[in-house]
Amino acid sequence: MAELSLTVERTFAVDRDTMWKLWTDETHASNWMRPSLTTYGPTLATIDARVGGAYRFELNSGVDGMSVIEGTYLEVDAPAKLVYTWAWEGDPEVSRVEVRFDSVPEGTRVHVLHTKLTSQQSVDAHMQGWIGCLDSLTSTYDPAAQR
Amino acid sequence: MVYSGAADTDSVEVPLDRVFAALSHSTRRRLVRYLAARDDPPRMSQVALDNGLSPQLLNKHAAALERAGLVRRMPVGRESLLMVDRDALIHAQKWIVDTRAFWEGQLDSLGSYIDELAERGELPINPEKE
Repeated sequence: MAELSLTVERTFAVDRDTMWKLWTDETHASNWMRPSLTTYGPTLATIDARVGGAYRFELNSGVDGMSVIEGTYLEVDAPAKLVYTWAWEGDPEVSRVEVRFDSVPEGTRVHVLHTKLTSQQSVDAHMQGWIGCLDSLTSTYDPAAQR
Repeated sequence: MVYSGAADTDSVEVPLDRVFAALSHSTRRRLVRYLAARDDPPRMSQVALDNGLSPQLLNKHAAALERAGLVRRMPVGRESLLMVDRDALIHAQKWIVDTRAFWEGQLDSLGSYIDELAERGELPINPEKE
């Protein structure tokens, strides 16, 4: 499906641990997670960066009002990789975002791969998310279940 | 609504995932490119000939593309013309263009925020500090 996904890459002069915080800490994410710092107000971000955990970004653009992105973390591999489902609120289409953080001499290279899902793929992704939720529940309520 | 197998795609917008599923096959992408490059819709027999496909295989792929609303088969006499639906293609293209613009904007914002933190002397972020 090479034509149906897109890749955006950029290098930033910060270390990987800092970059990871910028993506997974609610306060930091709220400060930058929007397509423009000038035309959008601060984002309201809630992030539960665990496999099966949910996130929600409320984007505030003065003109169009609020638009919401939400999804579930499918892979959380600090500080190297984040994979999550992606849906605009009110839109049934679910896509998949994979963000990779690579250490490079200049700092950290961020690699975003956004893939459009077919129905079957999004069903599978949701299944992974749900299984993740169940795993978290199990470990919360039954310490013996933790390995 | 005279063409077969596409009754539900006539008036209702086809979900993007069906479009992408149909385009996930290289032969079907080739067919769409071939059709999009032509001014007039060709006959099915011509399409089969030009693309080295058997009529049966072409029928299969044309049906998949038709279900996604990407092409239509228009009966003409004993044969059909195969025509591409440019609107559906534009819709798919738009997702890619919009989403790319969104991410370029996101990374611009991330860069500006990193500059701000650097100016305030708050980098690197201490992982222990909450």
